[in-house]
Amino acid sequence: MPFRSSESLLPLTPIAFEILLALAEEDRHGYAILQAVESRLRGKLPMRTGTLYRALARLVEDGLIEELDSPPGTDSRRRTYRITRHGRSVARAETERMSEQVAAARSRKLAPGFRH
Amino acid sequence: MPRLLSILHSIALFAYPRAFRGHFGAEIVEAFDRRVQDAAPRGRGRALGLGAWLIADAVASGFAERFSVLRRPKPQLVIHESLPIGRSQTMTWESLLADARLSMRRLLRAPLFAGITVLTLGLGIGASTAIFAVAHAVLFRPLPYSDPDRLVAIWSNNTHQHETKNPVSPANFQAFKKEAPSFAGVEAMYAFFTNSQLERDGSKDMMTVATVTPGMFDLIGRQMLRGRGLREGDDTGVVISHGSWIRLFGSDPEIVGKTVRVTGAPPFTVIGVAPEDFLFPYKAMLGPSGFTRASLPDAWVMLPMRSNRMVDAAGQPVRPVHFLAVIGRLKPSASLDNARAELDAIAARRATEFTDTNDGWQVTALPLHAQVTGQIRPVVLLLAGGVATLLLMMCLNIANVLLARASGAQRDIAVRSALGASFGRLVQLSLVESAMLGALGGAAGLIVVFVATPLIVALAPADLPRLSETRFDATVLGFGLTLSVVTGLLVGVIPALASTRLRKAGLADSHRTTASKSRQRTRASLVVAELALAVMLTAGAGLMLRSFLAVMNVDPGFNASNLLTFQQSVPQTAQQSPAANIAFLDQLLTRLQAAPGVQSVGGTTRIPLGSTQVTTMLAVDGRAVPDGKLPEVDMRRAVGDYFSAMGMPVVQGRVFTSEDRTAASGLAVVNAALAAKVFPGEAVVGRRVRMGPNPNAAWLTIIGIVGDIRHSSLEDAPRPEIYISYLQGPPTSPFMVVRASGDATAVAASVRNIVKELGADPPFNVSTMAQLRSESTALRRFTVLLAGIFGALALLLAAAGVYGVMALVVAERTDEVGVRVALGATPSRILSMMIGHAARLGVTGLAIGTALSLILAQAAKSLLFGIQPTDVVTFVGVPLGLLMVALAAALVPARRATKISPVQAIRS
Repeated sequence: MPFRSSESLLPLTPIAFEILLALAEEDRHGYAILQAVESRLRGKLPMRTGTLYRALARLVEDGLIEELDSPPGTDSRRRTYRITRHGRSVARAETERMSEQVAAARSRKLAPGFRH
Repeated sequence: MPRLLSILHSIALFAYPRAFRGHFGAEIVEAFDRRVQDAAPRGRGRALGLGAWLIADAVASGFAERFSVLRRPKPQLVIHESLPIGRSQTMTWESLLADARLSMRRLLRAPLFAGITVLTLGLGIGASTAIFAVAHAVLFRPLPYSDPDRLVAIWSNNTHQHETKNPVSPANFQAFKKEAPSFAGVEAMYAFFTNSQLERDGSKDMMTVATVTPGMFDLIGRQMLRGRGLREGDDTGVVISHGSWIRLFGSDPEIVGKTVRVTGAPPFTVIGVAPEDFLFPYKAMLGPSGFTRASLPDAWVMLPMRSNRMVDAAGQPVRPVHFLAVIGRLKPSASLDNARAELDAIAARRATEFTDTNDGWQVTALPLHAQVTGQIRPVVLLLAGGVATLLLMMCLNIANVLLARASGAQRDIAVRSALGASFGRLVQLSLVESAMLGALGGAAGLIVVFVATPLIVALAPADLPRLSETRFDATVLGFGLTLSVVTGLLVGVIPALASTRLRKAGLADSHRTTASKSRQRTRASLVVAELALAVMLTAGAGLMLRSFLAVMNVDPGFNASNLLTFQQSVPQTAQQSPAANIAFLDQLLTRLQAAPGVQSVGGTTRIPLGSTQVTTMLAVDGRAVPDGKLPEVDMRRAVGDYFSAMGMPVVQGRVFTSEDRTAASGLAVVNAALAAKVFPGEAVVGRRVRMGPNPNAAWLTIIGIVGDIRHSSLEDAPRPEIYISYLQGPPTSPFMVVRASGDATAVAASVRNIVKELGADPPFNVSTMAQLRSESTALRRFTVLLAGIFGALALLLAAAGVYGVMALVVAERTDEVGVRVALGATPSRILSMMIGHAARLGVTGLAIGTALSLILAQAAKSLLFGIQPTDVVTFVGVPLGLLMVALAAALVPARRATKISPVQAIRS
């Protein structure tokens, strides 16, 4: 799979970023990712199953996450995903990009807490 | 409920590309199920809503995934004219387009193969669609009336005469109308058309007229083009057909309200003009007695309920005379079964109440649509079955060729497979190619449809019900398109599966020239199936041909050659008295007799094979039989030397002569069928009979017996008939018959001159008896023609199929034959080996086909005439003939095999 630089993948879709956040904590299988995202957002970003798996497929394809071989004795249907180093650096790059945006928003008094 | 959601969700997953589904499918299903379960405690509605939302998402993201494949960068490694490797994708746009391009290139590289295949498919699809167009018009399209499915044809079932569709008497009609609550309305019409002469500005035109009860137009429920339909009180009103409005009245926009004159009747007022597609009544609605040369009426007039035909002198509805065709409209809440039960009850009640007229008279009720199309239905179904079989044979032939091409492309497939093409991908390529052939064939088929549909309609007898309504509409187009797609896939599926089998064989085996066992089996079964279908088609054609020949050999009971027939109106002035009428007819007879080339002249009221028949009840002197049980017989008047002019033999006694002039009243001649039916084993000549249930009618003494004739068709057994002389009530518009010494048409000119000199209106319905006879077999001739074409094509296709397969077999067995020759096999040994191969396939296919045909022939029994469904000539001749064709087709490649030399085999 052709590797693409971190910048060319930005900006990430909100769901892709959330998946990376969830996997940055620990390795998880698909449904666990879904639960982690939902509990973090408390329903602010509704999780659609089909969309989630499309995003997972794309992230695997782009090399941001990888599938782990299921450990013997576990449900073989469930694939466990782990964030790759490339994935971490892309997530970092995305965070930076967003921080810049947030900083810019702050300077224009758009961020929370600066309402007058 | 969660289970249903789960199933729906699994179906929705098919929106995803297959590869994606294979990878994530199970997980997505699990996640879906758990989420719906998790939501369940929060309420059923909530879980349902969530499920529906997730299913919608699966469909949306599935398709998004499919299309995103197109947008993503293509793999760097591209092999010319081959499939993407790596992730093997099926059913993506990209792969379909690539396959379409590849298939197109392949077809263009083999233009002969492509051309023949597309033409064959075009012929098959086109012919099938054309027959469908006919079947659609005749069998499936609703009748052109308002809510036509609720209309029911009602007949009396005369159990004495075994006439299940006997016309209805006015009294029974009234009872059905008033006493059957399932019907919203019950109306009637004469079960025959009448002819009227329209007089305008000195010219006279014959019109075919239908006579209906006052509520009939409302019952049918169609808006008239101009004016309105007939209603109560329109006793002197007339509605004219769209055709006669144009033809006779020059599309006069002011026609409604105008007065028209009809010979011998008071003036009529035009009430309305029917729309162009107001086809009513179809001839078939008139029942068996409605046999007439006109298929649709030119005008409609009223049959008032109080006319003297409907009520007797005492004001009671007429009970003993049956002449009405009855139509009922079911109430929306009523079923035909309920209606039948009510009608049966009415008939049963009346049978006990009026024993003299109604005992043994029951009721037949059937959907009006079935009444109209009943006669032609088996023929259309036969043709549809024939054309479908033909199409199937064409598909098998093409599948065979594609199969051969697939083995030619063996190496190609092996290479693709080695480079990672999946099973699905190879099937897809093969199917795309055949679907493309199907599409091209469908396009060619359109041309065939446009040519064949009007051709079929033109070839078919003009009076077949509904055939003229055949149109090329959206339904027919849709059928043609569907057929193209289905045919394309059908043709492709066998080679597609074969190519995947090749894939399994692998690259190492791809140089082998002998076919695998399984491929040989596939090919053998294609040939066997094709021969079996060929037997069915040719046996069907054979049975129809044998039936047709049997019909043509039927002796109609009269000599049809050199006989001219025409209808002649007696001038109005001569109709004033019977004596004047007889005088005119005698003058006509004398003048015609004297004309050059004329041998004998006669006339009658109903010409065999060319007019309706009139029946009468017959009472026998000395037998006490209630009115309702009197035998019903056909009745004709004989004018002049009718029997000798027709060439009908006198079996016993004598026929009318001119010496009977004074004593003629009181004499009758009967035919052999009547003698056998009414006087079985008794003396006939000298017996006295009386017509109709009429105690005042005169007794007639039977003076002779003549031979039987076939009246309504050559296929219907002769009916009992009684003849009375024209001297006893002369007809005003008799059919005349003139026997010529030579060609009958040659005397037509002198007939016209003589009629003109006598000052009468010109003769009409001029025709030779040979023409009438030929017209009466038109439906059979049409069936034989199409069945014959199907049969000939089947022979051709079978020969082509056997030839193709044997050519392949020989090519594949080149090595083997070479070795055999090297080991000393003689050419004749090789030839018999190859022919033996073909014969084994042939006999198997023919045996299966013969068995199937025997079963089908039983089902098509009603279409046969004069032969058994197990006709030995057909079922021995057809398989033998086909075997000869198959062996002849195998002979060419087999002879090629004898010329194989060992050296050539080794080199290849």
